[in-house]
Amino acid sequence: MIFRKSLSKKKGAAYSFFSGLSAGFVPAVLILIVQTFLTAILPLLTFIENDFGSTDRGEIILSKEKFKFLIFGLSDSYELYMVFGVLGILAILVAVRLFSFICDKKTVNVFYSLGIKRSTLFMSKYAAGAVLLIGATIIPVILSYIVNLIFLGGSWQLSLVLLHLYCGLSVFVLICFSAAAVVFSSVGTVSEAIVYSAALLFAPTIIIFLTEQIIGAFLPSSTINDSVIIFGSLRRYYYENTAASLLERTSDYNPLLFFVKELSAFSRGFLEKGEIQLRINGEPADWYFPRIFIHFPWFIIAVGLGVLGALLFKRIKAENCGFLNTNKILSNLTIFELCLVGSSVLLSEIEWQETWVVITTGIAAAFALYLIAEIFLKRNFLKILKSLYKFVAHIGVIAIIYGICATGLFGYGNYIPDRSNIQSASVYAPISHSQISTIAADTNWNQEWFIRVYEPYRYNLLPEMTDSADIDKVVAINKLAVDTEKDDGFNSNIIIRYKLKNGKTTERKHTLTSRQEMMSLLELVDTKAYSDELYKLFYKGITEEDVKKEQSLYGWVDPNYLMQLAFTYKYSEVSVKTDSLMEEKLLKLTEEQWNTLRDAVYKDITTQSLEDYFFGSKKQLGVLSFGINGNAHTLTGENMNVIYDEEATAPSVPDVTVPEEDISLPDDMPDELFPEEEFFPEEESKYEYTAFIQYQELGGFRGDTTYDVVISEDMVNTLSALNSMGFADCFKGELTIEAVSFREYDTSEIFSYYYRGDERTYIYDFFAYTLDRMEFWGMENEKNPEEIVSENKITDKAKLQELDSLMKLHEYSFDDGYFCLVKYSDGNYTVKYLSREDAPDYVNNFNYTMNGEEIYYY
Amino acid sequence: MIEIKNLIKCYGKYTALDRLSFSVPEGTVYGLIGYNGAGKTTLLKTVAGVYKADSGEVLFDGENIYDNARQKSRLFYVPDDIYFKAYASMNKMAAFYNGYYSNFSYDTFKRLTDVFGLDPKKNLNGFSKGMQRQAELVLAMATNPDFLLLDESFDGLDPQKRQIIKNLVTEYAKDRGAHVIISSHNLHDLGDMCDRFGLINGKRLVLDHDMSDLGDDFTKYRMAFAEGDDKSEEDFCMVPLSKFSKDGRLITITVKGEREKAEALIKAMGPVYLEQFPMTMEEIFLEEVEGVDYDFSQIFK
Repeated sequence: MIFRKSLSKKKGAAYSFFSGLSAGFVPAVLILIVQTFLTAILPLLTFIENDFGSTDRGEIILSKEKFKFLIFGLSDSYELYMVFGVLGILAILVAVRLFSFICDKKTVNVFYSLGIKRSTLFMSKYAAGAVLLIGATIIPVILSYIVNLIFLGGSWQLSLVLLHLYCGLSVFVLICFSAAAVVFSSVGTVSEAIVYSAALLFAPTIIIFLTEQIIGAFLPSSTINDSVIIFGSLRRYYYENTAASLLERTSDYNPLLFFVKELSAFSRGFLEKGEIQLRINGEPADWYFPRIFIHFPWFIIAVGLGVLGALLFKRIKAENCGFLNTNKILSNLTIFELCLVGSSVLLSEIEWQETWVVITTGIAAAFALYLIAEIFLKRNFLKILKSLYKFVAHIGVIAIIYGICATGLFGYGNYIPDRSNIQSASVYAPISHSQISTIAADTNWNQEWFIRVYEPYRYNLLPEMTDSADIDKVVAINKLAVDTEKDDGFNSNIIIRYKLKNGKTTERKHTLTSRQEMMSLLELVDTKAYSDELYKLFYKGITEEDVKKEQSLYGWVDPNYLMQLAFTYKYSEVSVKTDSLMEEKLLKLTEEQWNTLRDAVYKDITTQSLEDYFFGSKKQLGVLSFGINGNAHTLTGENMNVIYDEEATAPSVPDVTVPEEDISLPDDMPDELFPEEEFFPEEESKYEYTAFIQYQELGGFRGDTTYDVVISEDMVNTLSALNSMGFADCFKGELTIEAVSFREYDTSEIFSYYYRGDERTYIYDFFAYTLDRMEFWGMENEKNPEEIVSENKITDKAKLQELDSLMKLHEYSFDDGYFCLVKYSDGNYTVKYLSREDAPDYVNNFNYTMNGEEIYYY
Repeated sequence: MIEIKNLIKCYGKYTALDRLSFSVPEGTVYGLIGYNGAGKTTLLKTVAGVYKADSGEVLFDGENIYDNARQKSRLFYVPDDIYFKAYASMNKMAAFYNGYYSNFSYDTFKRLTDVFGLDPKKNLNGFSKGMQRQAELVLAMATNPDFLLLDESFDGLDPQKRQIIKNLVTEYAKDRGAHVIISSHNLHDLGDMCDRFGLINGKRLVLDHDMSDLGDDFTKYRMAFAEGDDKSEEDFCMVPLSKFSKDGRLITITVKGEREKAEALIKAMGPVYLEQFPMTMEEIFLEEVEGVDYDFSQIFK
């Protein structure tokens, strides 16, 4: 009798287990298929392609030369999120197949009256699900091992990483399954169980992600999740997340994300000169031991959830099955998440919208989602009305979060580290030296206004500052940003990254709105760190080996990196332009002369006052450019087309002739690129021309990648050096000004920038530029250029002479001014800048018109 | 023995069963009657351990039945709303129950399917409602339960099958000493097979009665008095009657308990005609439940 009873108990549990295996089989097989595809099929295809295919150059690179292991076919984070999403859904589906009997009245009558304890019933089904999920993961991992073994051979790294993969994937699906099992033990309907399972699993992600969005939107000093294009002082541009997001930092504690980064890092091991390299965020990284220990706590949690599910199942009331909204905790959690999501609908637009619009839209969206949830759960208008106070409670909690963030997060907003703890400071600011900012800027082109300015990218990375005085300057700017409340209509963001002596890093971001704050940024150019960087730029130089190393590391060469060639004599060419920018001459220099000139320019730049540099208080004579010559063509390995003028060839220049058969021009290029009469003055110049080499654009030679220095009267060393080399009149041109037409330049109207819905003034770094007729013809209206420039025109010779001395080739446009379209005697145009402050009365008082038509900005 | 002691069962704030107490000894068929929504199914589910009592006890041989695997392995509950696995046949369901009941007998199963003329291989979804009930009963009996709970098991059955089931259940209870609780609205059939019955009315068990004593405790008298001797209900105030009705000179009363005393009192009143009838379960039910009389001619005007 006792034996029979014991047998009965075990029989029930065993049958329940095996029937569970049968019930959950189909979704488990789908998990197996997905994982097999990713861990075995995709790697197999890659290996076959490598070993039996060929590159564009006809080579075969064997897999064993390239990989140490390849265990997962995807590595991009976003692709992995999708994969994990699919696996999570399938794991929940296994739970649905096993536990949906809890939500059906008919099945409940049977199962709850059977001779099996509830906890035994639950655990036997849970065990069936766990076995299915673990089995669905181990088979693909074994197949992955076999595939790797065949193509790459075995290694302890492969075994270790596969163990890591197996643990991670199986624990992940087990977590999702367990969460769903717990939820099923607590609710009355399958639909609720699915929704609440997702809500439970997503809760940490949603709450953390949205909290950091709120912090980022409302806490001005937060840099969380700021992702910017920044330009390093060596002109290499790259995306950088200024601070790792909260979500990333807490991913180890997130049930959905704890394994994504690890899988991304270890999905493939590359071989680089015999060493294993991983990829982290797409960048090469050294091998490190996988963090297998992170799986253990999650496994414990999964099993714990299973036990919790059994306990809850013992207590669940059968009379609740089939009824919605029986679990208030889960329903309120889900609705809170929905309200939080709804409230943040316009957060990403916070900079472009007024705050009240963002808040109101958020509340409306939250209410809409709340209503949808309540209708689904209650389906009774009266009941929904009676429980409306819950929405108020949800919004109240969300409002508290918003309020805390917006009011500085308990002082975090104004926090500046103690000066004595700061080891170094880096600043991202819209400020830079002109020589660097040309490429480190975005070009805004307004066709109607023939206006082109450079917008210093909001986050130029200035050199890291370790000098005490430099750090003092940064801290002073930070304090000014914290203390200043004045709003002069500016808007610029700065991010300051402090490295502390205790090894930690903290970042502060501030929006500068006052003129005083904007001016304070100029001080950053006047630092030791900046001048050291400038020194490196001018003097470090790079070799062919440096370039080739760069190429092998990244597979390509950043043109900005190549620009350092401009300061290596072998690859450098120097040219000057007059202040019309039309007349350009190459300077033939010996190495000694080149060094002298380089030294002089460097000295002048580093001693030039900020007023002179940024606001051109001294007359600007022209532009001196350090560019790159034809000796650089071997470095990129690319084919280069060389066009040079035979007349200008000087025999002492290194022969860079390219055989004619190697020259290939695009079909649509005109026969004559640069008609002689427009480019070269008729009179024979006293300058000896070197080979004038025009490169096709290869990611930026010439035009975009020369170092242009605006030479002004105060740059005495440069002028003296040029004088001593016989180039005293190099800035004197033959062209004369025939007319100047003006367009008012109102920064807030032409290139608007928004901050909390307000149009704001933004700094623009103006560099003069030429406009040839072709550009005019390219304009939409195809007007005669003379018609466009006929308005607001000055032709009086005396005034033109005065304006010639006032107009600038370069100026930081803090204030409004005028774009000056200068027509020269050769019929071409140059656009210069004249600030309102410098402009004479007859310019300021001009009656500016645009044919009475509304101005459309490009 | 099944014992229910002061059982209270609530759905939220609503009390469905209020302090029910009764017992079902070994070998007894207990009939459970009550109007629609009285709480019969709730009671059966609580007895089956599907629901947990909010107060009171449900004891099977002295042990609380809720989540008691040992006692429940001797129990089979046939609900009103029958469950079959999707696209299952009787054979498949037999395998299901065989997985949970160690006493399941395929021989009994086979014999009973023959008795009812059911095809065990056919998809149960293709069975009629009555056939599904028969199938469920076959499966129930095949588990050889010591406790059998049947909820509306006569529903949809033809008279022949009802008779078979009545005989089957009664024989099973007597031979095996099983405890059977059966609820039904078919009071005539219940009356034939039950040893005892309980009537639920107003959330309470208003009657818990042995069938053999029914005639002693519930009696109907029909009488008439001499012309001119007009009797009213007040004249019967000494008689322990539960219901009085008069149709012309014909008076009908029902008496609960104290039959001899009542009879003596009636005879003393000198009726010219007196006849006694034992009450059927249906009559008892209707009297206890006290439905409202409707003038249906007014409804369809």
